[in-house]
Amino acid sequence: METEKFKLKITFLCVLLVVLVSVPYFGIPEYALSVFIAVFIYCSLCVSWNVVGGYTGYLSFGHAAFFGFGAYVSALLYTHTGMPPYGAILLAGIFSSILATGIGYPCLKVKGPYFAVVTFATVPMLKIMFENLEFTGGVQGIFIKSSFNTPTIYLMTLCLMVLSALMAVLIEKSAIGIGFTSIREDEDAAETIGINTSKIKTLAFALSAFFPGMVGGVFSFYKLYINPSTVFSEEMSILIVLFSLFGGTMRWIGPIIGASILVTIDRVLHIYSGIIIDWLEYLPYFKKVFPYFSSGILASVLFGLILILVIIFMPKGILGWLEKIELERLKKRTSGRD
Amino acid sequence: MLLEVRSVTKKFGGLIAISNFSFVLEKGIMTSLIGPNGAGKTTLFNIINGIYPPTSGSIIFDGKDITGLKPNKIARSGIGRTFQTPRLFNEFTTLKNVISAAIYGGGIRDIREAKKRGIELLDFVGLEKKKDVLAKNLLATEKKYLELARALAIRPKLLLLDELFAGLGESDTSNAINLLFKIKNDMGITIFMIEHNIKAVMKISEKVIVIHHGEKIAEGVPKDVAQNPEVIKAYLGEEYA
Amino acid sequence: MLGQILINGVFLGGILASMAVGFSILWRVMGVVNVAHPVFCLLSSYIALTLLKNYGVDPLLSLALILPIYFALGCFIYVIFIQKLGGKDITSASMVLTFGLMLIVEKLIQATWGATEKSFLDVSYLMATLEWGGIFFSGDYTIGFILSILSLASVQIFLTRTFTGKAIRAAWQDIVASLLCGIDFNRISAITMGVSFALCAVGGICMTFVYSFYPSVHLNWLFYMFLITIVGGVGSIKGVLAAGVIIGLLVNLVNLLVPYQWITVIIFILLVGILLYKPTGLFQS
Repeated sequence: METEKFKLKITFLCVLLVVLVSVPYFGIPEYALSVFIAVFIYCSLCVSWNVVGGYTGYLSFGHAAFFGFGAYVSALLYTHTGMPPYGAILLAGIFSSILATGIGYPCLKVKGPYFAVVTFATVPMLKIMFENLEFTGGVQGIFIKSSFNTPTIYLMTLCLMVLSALMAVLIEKSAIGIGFTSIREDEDAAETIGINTSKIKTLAFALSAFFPGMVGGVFSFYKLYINPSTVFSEEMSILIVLFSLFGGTMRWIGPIIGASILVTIDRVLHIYSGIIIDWLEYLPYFKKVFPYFSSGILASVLFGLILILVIIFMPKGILGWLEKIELERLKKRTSGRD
Repeated sequence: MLLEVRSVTKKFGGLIAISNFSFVLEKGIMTSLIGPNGAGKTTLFNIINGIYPPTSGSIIFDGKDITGLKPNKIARSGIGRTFQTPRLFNEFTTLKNVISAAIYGGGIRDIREAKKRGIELLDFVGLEKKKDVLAKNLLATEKKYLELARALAIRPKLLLLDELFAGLGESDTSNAINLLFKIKNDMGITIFMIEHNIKAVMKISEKVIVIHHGEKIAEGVPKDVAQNPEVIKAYLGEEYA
Repeated sequence: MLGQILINGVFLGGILASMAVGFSILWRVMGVVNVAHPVFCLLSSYIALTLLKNYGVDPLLSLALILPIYFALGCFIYVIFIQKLGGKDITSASMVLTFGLMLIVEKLIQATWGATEKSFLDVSYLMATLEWGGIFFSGDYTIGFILSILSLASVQIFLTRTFTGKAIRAAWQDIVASLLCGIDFNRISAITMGVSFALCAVGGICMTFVYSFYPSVHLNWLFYMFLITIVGGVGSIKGVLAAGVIIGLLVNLVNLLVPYQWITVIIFILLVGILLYKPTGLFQS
């Protein structure tokens, strides 16, 4: 019975993968591809974040730091050393993990709100540093002269999403995963049974930074221009947490579900922003009270609201909600038999 | 000499929790630590187990100085421990709780091997039927047994039990006593336990250490300790001494 | 020269403390970590600025008007949001929730007032400068400081001399015992949050007397606030003031050696350092 369900899942995922891979060959317009790319990027970020946020329970509010850092590493390697793009992207991931180990070791000594604020602070910190360093282009940023077309970027980001999800699955099924989640359940008890929590937490943090670094690396070749304020975004850090919590942090698929749904909504809002703003301006006084309104603001407000609603009503996210429904169903079945 | 605690003192700010405490545990000798509430029993355990470092003094385990080491290192050196209120991995199944300990404390890298060992240990404490139940859904007494099984999974030489018998009814108490004897005789594990259940203590301990206001006030075989006037004074007050 | 730095540092410290104190006591009493605290401070400044620009209302008068509104806002937010969270793990849950709140309020500020930098430059008494003993007392810092001290002193008196204040402190010592004494925990919590928000209003005005502001400036304030709260020990008003003064002096001293942008980096390193060395704060309440 178990293997039947498992085979079904694998088949479904394979079919889905084939469909996704062939999407660019159907002559889909560029802006539609960009929606997919955004989804894939955030899925990678969230499923990776979940390795430390969901599995160990340390909610990092600064994960965008690795994205930005990766973007810069790959851009700098490519433009200054002529390294081939794939190499630059891979190294972006590796260097991000190294950065995570360096930041993680001290930061993981504290928990909860302390950890959140310290990690949150890394993004503006890096932003300021990169703004003030000569060889990173300062506030002006870096231009990347590359020839990757959008379908290729699509496939690269899809690939990273699949790989990051694979990493999460492997972690979940392995001894390492048990170590991570033991820490989440009760860190002191974990220590008492021989888990070197400091080492294991830092490992989780390092692993969680690898794919965000690579995704940042790809981002440089996608937008062809990066600067500190575009790649080091505090809002991105918050959104990563939001999307993951929304989907559910218990298993790898939660963040993917959460990111897929919410990023799609965000991109759709963006595409139809003109219509939406016109519509909102029909409300009395709207233009007078909010003269600077934009679709970006609408999306952010919506996300803030969703974050609040999730934490109050659905703290375990969509996965938790599905689990609850499943449990109710089982209860009904067993009580029906009585 | 399995464990030697040398002149350990522990201060929390101005409060002296443990004062110049020294004793020795011999291998295979079942020892109890008793004392009135607030005397410092759990604090002493926390120091041995590495959760707090002592303010001064040292702890030698199996010939090695373990003073100030992190709890995970001490656990892997061979000291296992249960808590007064079981601290389980609540969202894990009973079996997974033990597997985690078997992998990290017991050094079994392969999950399937760890699973086998887990089932063995659950069988030993009588929880094998509940192996797939989430730890948070176990009964209170079952949680204690699970914590015991988990502590055993790290292959300890010394097992620190913090009030294992608390809340256990008659049959569970004698069941637990049997388990402890098996642990001592079949597994060769030395047991050091904090207990309030004086009956159990007198019945199974070969040695008793008494702590009061953070100081050792008596040490010896159960019968002698029970008649020690200092001990009686500590528990019942001046008039009864 | 040294005297000038000292005065600037102390004044800045008081102002920073007034912004942080509401956050600190809320955390201590209810375990609620309100990362949206600085953005609400900022909001009150924007409101005061609008009242000034459109109706010519003096900011200090605006503050008097905003205070009761903010108190009510705090109670409202408690009832609508925080109370729903229940008791389990309220620190993490409230933090995540207030991150959401922070995002909403910042974006609504941006939607209403735009992203350009604003300030209270037009207010005459802020621009005035007095000289005394070779030291220059500029209106903005001085008045901000006086306001800060008044608000800190008021809170201290409120908590130690009034019945409600003592009830709040009882609740923060031992929830169960205070319930047994007949203290209505929900009401106390709502009041505490109201007080925290009222302090927001003051803190915001004080900060914007001396700093120009824009929608995302609250993020800078967030670090200072967090740093001060931790250094001073969560919940200690005297600690918050002392920590504020230390940070204020540090900022002014460091400013001599290092360009302005790097100060935040140094503050960050300081924050990390303190968390590693003594996560419970340098002072304990």
